[in-house]
Amino acid sequence: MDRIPARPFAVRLFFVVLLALVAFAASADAEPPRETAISAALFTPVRMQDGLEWRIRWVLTPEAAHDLAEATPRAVRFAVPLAADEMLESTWGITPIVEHGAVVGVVLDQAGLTDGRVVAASLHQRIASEGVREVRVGAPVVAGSALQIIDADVGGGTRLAIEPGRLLEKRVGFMASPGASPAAREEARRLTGYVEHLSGAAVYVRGDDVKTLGGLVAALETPRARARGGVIGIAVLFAAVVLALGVAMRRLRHAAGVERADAILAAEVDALGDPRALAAVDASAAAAAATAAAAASRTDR
Amino acid sequence: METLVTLIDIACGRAIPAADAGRSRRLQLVVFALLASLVFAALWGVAAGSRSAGLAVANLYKVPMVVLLSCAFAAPAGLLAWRLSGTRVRGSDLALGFAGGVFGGTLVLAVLAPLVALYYHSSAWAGPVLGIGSAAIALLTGTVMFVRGVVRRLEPGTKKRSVFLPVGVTLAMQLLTLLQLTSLASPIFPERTAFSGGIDHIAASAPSVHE
Repeated sequence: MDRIPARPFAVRLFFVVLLALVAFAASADAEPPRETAISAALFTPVRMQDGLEWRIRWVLTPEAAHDLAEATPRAVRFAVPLAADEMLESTWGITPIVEHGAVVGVVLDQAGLTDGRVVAASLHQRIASEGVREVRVGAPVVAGSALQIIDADVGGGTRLAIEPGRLLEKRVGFMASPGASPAAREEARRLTGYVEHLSGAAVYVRGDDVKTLGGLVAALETPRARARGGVIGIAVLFAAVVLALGVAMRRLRHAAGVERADAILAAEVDALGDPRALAAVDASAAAAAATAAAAASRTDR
Repeated sequence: METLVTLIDIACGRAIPAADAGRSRRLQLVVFALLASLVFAALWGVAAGSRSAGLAVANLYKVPMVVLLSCAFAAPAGLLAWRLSGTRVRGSDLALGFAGGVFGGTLVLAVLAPLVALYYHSSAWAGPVLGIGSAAIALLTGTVMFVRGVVRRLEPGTKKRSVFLPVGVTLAMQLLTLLQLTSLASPIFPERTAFSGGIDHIAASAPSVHE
C-alpha cells in the first residue's frame, strides 16, 4: 500500500498546535488566586497521643465567601508560616501554599466552604511527649487585623498558658490584643459560635500582632502544675498555724489552770455556810487542783 | 476529757461554767477546739479517701488544712466586723462560738466517717453522695452551733440582730475560702466533683456570662 506523506504532517501539526494551546492555558491558570482577608477565626486544640489537633474555623468576609460560591478561588495567608512539625490535614477545597519549603497559607475554593462563610479545616501539631516546657502555638492565625480566637483549653483542665509578650494583655478571664473592644470580641464570638467561659482560656489575637511577635509560644500547664505553687504556700501556712496553736496551748495551760483554781476558790468562799454547795465546789476544786498541778509540772519540765 | 466535755457543752449552747469563764481558759478552749477539730477532720479525710491508700494518707493533712486555714482566713474579717458593728457581745464569746461551731461541724464529720468509708467501699453511687452530703451536714451543723452559741451568750438587753453582721461576715468568709482551699487541695474525693475546680469550674458549669 502506498503511503500518503501529507497526512501525517497535518496530524503532527495539529498536535503541536494543540500542545501549545494547552501549555498556554495551563500557564494562564498558574497565576495565584487573589488574597483575601477573613472576618474572624476560631482555633480549638484537642489533645492527641502525639501532640495537638487544631480544629479550625475561618470565617470569610462576605465578599470572599461570595467569590468562593461563584467558583473563584481565594488565597488566605497565615501570620507566620507553619513549622515543620505542623501539618494541615488534606481537605477538599483547601490547598496549601508552599513558599521556601514552608506552608504560608492556603488556597480556598468552593468545595472548602462548609457553612455559609465558614471554612473548616484541621491541623496536626506534633509535640514531644516528655521534657517539653514550651511549645509553639500551632493555630494558623490568618494575617490581618481581624480578631481571631484561640481557645487555650486543651481538655482535662490542661491549658496552653500563652506568653503574653508585649502585644497581648492578660485581662480578667481572657487574654487579648490591646484595643480589642468588648464589641469586637463579642463579634468574633458571634461569628465563630464560640462560647466563652470565665476560665482564662480564651485568647483574642490579631494576625498582625502574631506576625510582629513571630508566632505565639505557650507552656502546657496541667491543673496540678497550676496549683502547685499555691499548694506549697498553703501547706507552709498550715504548718505555721498548727505550730502557733501548739505554742498557744502550751502557754495558756498554766494561766488557765490558775484561773480555774481562783474561780473555784472564789466559789468556795461564796458557798461557805451552804454545805451542799460546798461539797459540789470541793469536788470541782479537787479536779481543778489536779489539772493545775499536772500543768505546772509539765511547764516546769 | 473534761475539756472535751466542756467543749461539747459549749457547742451545744449551754452556759459556760463559772470555773471556765476566765479569759485564759476561754482562749485555751478556743485553741483546744481548733486542735480537736483537726483530728476529727483528719478522720473524715481518711474515710473519704479510703478507696486509695495514697489519697487516704494525703487527706490526713489535706482536710485538716482546709478546715484550719478557712478558720484562720475567716477570723480576721469576723473580728473586724465585730469591732465595726459595735455589738455588745464579748470578743472571746464570738471566738468561742466560732470555735464551738467548727468543733461541732468537724465532730459531725468524724461520727459520719465510718458511714462514708463503708459506702465508699460498697457503692459506686452512694459513696460520693454521702461524702459530699456529710460535708454539707457538717457545714449546716457548724453554722447552727456558731449562731446559737453566740446568741445564747449575749449580755442581757443586747439585741440579737446586732451579732448577725460579725457572724454573717465570718460565715461568708469561711465558705468562700473553703471553696478555693478545697480546689487547691483537690483531689480529696476519688472522683472529680463540682467543687474540685473551685469558683472557675462552678462558673463554667453555669450558663455563659455572655449568653
